[in-house]
Amino acid sequence: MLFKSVYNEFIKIAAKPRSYLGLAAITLLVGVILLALKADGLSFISFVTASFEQTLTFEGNILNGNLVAFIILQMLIIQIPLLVALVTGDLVSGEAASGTIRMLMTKPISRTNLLLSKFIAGGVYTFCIVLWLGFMAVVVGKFLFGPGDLMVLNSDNLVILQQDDVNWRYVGGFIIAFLALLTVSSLSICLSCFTDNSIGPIVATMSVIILFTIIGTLDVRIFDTVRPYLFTTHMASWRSFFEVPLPVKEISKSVIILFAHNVLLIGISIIKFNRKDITS
Amino acid sequence: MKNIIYFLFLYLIPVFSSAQDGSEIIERLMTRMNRVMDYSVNAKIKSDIPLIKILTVNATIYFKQKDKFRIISKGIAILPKQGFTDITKILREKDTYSSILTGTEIIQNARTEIITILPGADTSDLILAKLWVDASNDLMLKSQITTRSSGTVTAEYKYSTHKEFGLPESMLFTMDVKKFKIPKGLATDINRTSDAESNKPVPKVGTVFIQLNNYVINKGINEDVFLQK
Amino acid sequence: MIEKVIEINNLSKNFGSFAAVKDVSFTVNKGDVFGFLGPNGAGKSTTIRCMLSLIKPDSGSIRVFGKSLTENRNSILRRTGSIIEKPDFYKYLSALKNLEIFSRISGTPSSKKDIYKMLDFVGLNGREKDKVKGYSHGMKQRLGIAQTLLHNPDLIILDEPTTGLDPQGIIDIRNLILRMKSEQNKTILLSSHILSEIEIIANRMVIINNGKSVVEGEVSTLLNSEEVVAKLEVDNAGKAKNLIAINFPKLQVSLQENNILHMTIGKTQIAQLNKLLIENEINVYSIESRRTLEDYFIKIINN
Repeated sequence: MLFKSVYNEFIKIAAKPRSYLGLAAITLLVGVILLALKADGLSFISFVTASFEQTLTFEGNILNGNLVAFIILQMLIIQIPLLVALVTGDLVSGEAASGTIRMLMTKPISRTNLLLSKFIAGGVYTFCIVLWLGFMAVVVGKFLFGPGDLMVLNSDNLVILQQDDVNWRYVGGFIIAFLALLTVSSLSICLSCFTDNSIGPIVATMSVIILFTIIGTLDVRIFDTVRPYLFTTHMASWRSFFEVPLPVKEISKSVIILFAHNVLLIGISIIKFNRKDITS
Repeated sequence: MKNIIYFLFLYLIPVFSSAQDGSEIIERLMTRMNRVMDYSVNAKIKSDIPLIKILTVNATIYFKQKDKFRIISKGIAILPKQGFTDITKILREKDTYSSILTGTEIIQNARTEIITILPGADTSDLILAKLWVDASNDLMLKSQITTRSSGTVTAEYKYSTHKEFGLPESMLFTMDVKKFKIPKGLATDINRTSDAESNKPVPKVGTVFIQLNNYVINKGINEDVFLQK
Repeated sequence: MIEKVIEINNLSKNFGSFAAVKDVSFTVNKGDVFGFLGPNGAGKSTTIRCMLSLIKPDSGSIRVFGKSLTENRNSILRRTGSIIEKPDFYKYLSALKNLEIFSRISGTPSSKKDIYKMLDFVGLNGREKDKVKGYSHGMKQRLGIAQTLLHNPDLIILDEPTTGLDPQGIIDIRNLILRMKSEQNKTILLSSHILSEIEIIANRMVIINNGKSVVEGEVSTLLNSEEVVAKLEVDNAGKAKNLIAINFPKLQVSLQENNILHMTIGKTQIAQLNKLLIENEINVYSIESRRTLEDYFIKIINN
């Protein structure tokens, strides 16, 4: 029954015009960035190399597909949660608002199974978003700018990764990014269980992300104890894969915390949804 | 009086001789260098620059008289700004500098003459250059260039099979590196999770070691190689 | 022995301090078209939602097909089809896709052929691939019936299925329910606030008011012996009123308009009254009898 319900959820997501908004937004945003870098990327690079020009020169194709993909990911990873929440935040509450949840719940499928199918479908949708972002950034980026070593621009250092050493890092980075976005998906579905309003969970999800990000950024001692456990702190840990040496401990910690968030949010959702009276 | 004359002969002559013009040595050096019309060579570039993490890079270096130079690497290579061709560029412009022999030094078990090069004009970017030349073999074993724009870069050269052309088998560049900062807007680690390294003490000197092999000398190089794509 | 399909005992449900359902009890037997009657807000929908496990009751028990709903939810729902208030569908999907979605999780998946057959049964053939957002309320209601019947359930629960429909729509749905009963011998629980609807379709009924069940029994027994509000238009109201007072002393007659008399009278007494007036040379232009749920409730509650 779970498999059939997941299949149903896929059909619903695929048929909703809103689902394609995220893909369209990624295409548009990445397209604009690619166009801008194609047109004036060299001045961007000269900005970067200006800091070293007194002493060093850089040989080789710096503005390559790998750097472009990295810049795109860095810029867009903050906007993607909104695109994910736009669809996943609607999965339960949207059905409550339209009354279809009532129809579903009169069928012989347990609430837990129905909810899990929504989590799975939300996860698959998130995966599609990440995959599309990866395709647009890495594949299209490399197609337009060619391959080359990746220059990771940190505020206080530079890491230059050889192009043969980059692809597996992207795969690892995307897996972590997916896990981070899956947490956003789980959060929005969880919030979706608490209301019958379609927009509320989407706004609430973004509010939580903004709030946690502020707490994570504010250098105030009272937040020191909670900061390492906020999922937003680990949303950018995909870029740990682009550090040398690989911070395995940091990555493992992020994976554990993000995974724990997902388990917790799914657990809360199941408890809430099973206790909920369907009055819509 | 005799003693005085003897004293002058014994001590001042070497002083005069050490302040001799180094142009003769430079001329011999240039003659040897000019025997190379062109070359290509495979290079392994190992950079050790503070706050830059980069693995060894393989590249091919192309040179053609009189000043065409190109490095083609599969990836990104970092080189000192005052590197390969700058010394020869400076030495070729004989009228723009004066050279003085300022002493000797043992380098790589060889006695080298130290030639100090001073620019003729105050407006020149070059402040001072020094060459350590093994005069018996007409080989430059070390160089140091100080410019207004790039600070000081020291290079040490080792020779083996192609010493008759004055082409080294390895070069070690040492340079001053100021702590750099990428503008916030361009840095991509705004949300970085692992600790930044900004608070750790940073060495002020960087090195670039270049191992050269498989020289192809005077076989002709197509002009297209030097066109930047 | 009569097989009990639904047994509700002392069902109660509060929303905060508001008691939506208070000690409701009734029984639906196999093959019944059971009327679940009550005014708006009486607690019908809450009770039905409890029966479908949409709402968790605070107390009481629900047994369907002889099993406890709490412990056998899925097996009970597999044999149950329902429409709660109005059928809501995925508007961006076609009728066909909607039915496929609900069929897939109904426990008895239907083939495309079955779905087409069912759409034909409810009169939606030719519109299968149209998106539901283009459907009228009546069409959605019929699609709801199709969704209810698709997995061939033994029990059908319809909550106010004719709400918002035009007269033709009401007749169509009523006929569909009658066909379900006659052709497929389903057990049907039909909730409504319209007494006449129940009177036409149901064989047994329960009346619920203010969250409490008021009366339960055979429709014919409960309704046929009851009094109606009658309106008589005669040529001589004064004479007619006197005659009625003499011959039917228990009747309360009022003269409300010119030559129009109002009274509450037993159904069988209407014919006797008509005969009396004609024999006494009073022309009877019209007799209208009506029975509203409210009237009936008032009577039931007063009793």
